Amino acid sequence: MPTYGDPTGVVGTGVETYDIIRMRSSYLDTKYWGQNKTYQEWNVKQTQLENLEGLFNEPSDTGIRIVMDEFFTALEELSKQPGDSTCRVNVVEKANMLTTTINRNGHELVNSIRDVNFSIKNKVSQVNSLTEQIANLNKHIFSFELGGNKANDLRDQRTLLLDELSSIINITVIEMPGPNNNNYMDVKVGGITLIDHIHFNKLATEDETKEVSDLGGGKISKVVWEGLDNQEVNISSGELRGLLDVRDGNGEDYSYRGIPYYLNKLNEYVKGFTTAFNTQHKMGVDLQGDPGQNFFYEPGIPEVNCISFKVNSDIIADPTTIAASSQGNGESNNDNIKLLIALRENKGMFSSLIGTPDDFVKSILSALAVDSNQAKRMTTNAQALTDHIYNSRLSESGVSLDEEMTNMVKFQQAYNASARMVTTLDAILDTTVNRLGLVGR
Amino acid sequence: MRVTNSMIINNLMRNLNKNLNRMEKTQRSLSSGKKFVNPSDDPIGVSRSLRLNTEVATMNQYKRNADDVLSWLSTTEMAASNITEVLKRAKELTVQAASETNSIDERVSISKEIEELRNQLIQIGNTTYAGSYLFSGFKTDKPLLAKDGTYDLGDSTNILSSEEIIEVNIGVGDRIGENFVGQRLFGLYSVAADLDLKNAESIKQQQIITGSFLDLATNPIDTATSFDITYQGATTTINLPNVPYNDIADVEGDISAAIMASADLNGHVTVSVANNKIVFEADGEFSVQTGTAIGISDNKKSVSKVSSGDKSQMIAIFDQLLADLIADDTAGIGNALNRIENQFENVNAITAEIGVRMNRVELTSNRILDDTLNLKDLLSKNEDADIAEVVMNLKMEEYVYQASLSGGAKIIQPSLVDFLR
Repeated sequence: MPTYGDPTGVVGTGVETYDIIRMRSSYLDTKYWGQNKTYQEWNVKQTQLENLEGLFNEPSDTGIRIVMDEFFTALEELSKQPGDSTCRVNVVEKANMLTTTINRNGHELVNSIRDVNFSIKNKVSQVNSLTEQIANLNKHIFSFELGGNKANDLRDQRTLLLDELSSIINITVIEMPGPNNNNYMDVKVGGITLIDHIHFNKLATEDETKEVSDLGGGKISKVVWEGLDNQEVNISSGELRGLLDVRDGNGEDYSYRGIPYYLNKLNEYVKGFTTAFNTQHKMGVDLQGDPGQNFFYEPGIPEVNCISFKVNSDIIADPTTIAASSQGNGESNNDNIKLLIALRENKGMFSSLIGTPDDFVKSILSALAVDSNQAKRMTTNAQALTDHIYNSRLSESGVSLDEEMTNMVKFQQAYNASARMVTTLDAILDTTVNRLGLVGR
Repeated sequence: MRVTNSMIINNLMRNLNKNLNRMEKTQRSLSSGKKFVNPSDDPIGVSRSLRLNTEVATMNQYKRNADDVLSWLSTTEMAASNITEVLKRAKELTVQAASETNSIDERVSISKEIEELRNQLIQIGNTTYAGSYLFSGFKTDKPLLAKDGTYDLGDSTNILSSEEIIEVNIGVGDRIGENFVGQRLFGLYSVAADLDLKNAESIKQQQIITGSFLDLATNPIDTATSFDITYQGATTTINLPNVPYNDIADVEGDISAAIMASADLNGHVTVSVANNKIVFEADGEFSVQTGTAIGISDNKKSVSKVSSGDKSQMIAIFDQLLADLIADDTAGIGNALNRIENQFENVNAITAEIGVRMNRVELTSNRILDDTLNLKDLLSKNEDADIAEVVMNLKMEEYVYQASLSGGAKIIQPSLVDFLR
């Protein structure tokens, strides 16, 4: 039964209802909206980082570490028999495994960016849909309450939608008295009005000129105010912030370490390793006595990255071109192989970190592990706070069966008591009227 | 605080979920046997696990390398001991031939056997291990000796340098040479006088101050001001007047001047720079004082080279012996006895060296096994779950979960509704 505070429903009960008030604390609502956005932001980050952990797949028997181990094992075997074609083919195969593993990681990182970008677009249209619904409800509530009634059900619906909106984006909700004791409601995002009573602004996504990354994969989009000179939206938390951080964070200038960070690190790794390995490889000579060529394909401009990382096709076609020796004085000269193997202990390959290639991979994974761990902890903490506020809300507006039952019993007893009162009065009257004196009978 | 039913149910749901989560984690660690599955479970543990796994893989490879070196060396040792046998037999025959009472027939049959022994030596020189010629340096696809006792090496322009040592990694920065170049056993014959020399004497000696010690940028020679060179028993002190040095050429210049000034060393010992190393060469037995203070390692190598077509000294001795036998030159046969004895000593010295090297590889191999065990132990401590502990935890989580379930059942059911009838 819709009870919009309309007293017509209780006509004939002998009771006049002036108002039905929602049991709600607007203070708790505001607090909930404030906390929920943080919770959702970290929740998104946690999910995305867990995806990345799955993508790098360490510790396992298929990650970068194991293919690196196997590549160097193959080089060691070749160092014992540099003239043996099986050993040479083995080196090429393991090098291929190394490059394809890193390629796969690179592709998946780029795909992740694209997926997150897609989610951002989705969230933006979700915000628009919620905005429109809320503005619509505002209109209804306003016109309903013109008559002095309370539109409780509509208000409940609006609170629910605001809850939803607060999980996506940071909102501040202000309800201010308008004329005729009616309320206007404003929702702001980053200081700019999203909903002004029955009017609302829409968000939109605008494609940036740059690609997902230097590696292709489509354009990324930024979130802007539609119509307001396409000004960028100031999103400070909520699911959208989480998604934006994961999509754009490259770890520079204290920004969040999102997917681009890991992509850049992987690129730096590939670049450093390729350069060092090729330089050393070119110092040697191959089985024919010719000087070594690039072992890994080096495309020049743009620089080699985790997707273009490949073994030189000439070496795949003819493994005797692996430059195992330092000079053409016999097939078993393994001097250059030894120097190539020693690269694994070389700490000067990378500009951002002094460490061996293994250290570099480890540092990437450690960063991921620590961030993911932090995201988990932040999610748990934010969730606890959100739950606490949610509980307080339930404490305020929830129905306690015990309470209702007690009230029911109370009112029943009161009723009984009043009934008894009537009986008593009846008895008094009976006594007074019928028993007292017999004059006139 | 006012407590409502939906609050209680909400809290119950949340706690049930938490318990279930914890139980899932414990169960996962029980079923996988690992403490962690994702890096975020234990960031430090995972990065340590990566390092340890790589180290285990490297150690396994070093073990395989050491085993391969060992079998290569034992084949070499076998070849060397075969040479010893051949030389022993040749000595017996020579002693027999040297006595004046032999008939011409006897000398012919002795010379036939000596010829066989000579051919056997060439065969030993061309011993293969897994298809690779043992004594051909880097040219493992080329035989060492031709049938006429000259160095073959496949091509008339090929050179076999004593630096052609196939080194294999058996530890980080720890390498061992698995082969012995042929000329160390078979020698180089150039003039008749060479026949009486031991190989070790005919091969020039060199010592090296290695680059790692002499990296002047980080490790300038600034502590020691002098060191000793001993040549043929006489010790000469070389002063370094301009310490500390910033240029290796200056070090070389000062050492070279000091050598020129010394009567004992001048003309016998030379100094040069190669690959940022200071290299000493001498034409006889010599040594350079070792010690980290001046960064000189006792890296002793022969530097002689043989080219295709050069004659082997050992084979030349046999050829000369054969000629003497046929000519019945008793004095020549007598000389051969001494020459074979010299060769015998040389081969024995090299056999000992092989033995020492094998010993070292075996020790390393054992050490690698110990290291691998230790690493695996560490790895296990780092990432393997303590099953007893996990099972205990799991049981506890199960109890907690069951308790919360049954508690939940009690919470949800009764309210005043159930009691007011």
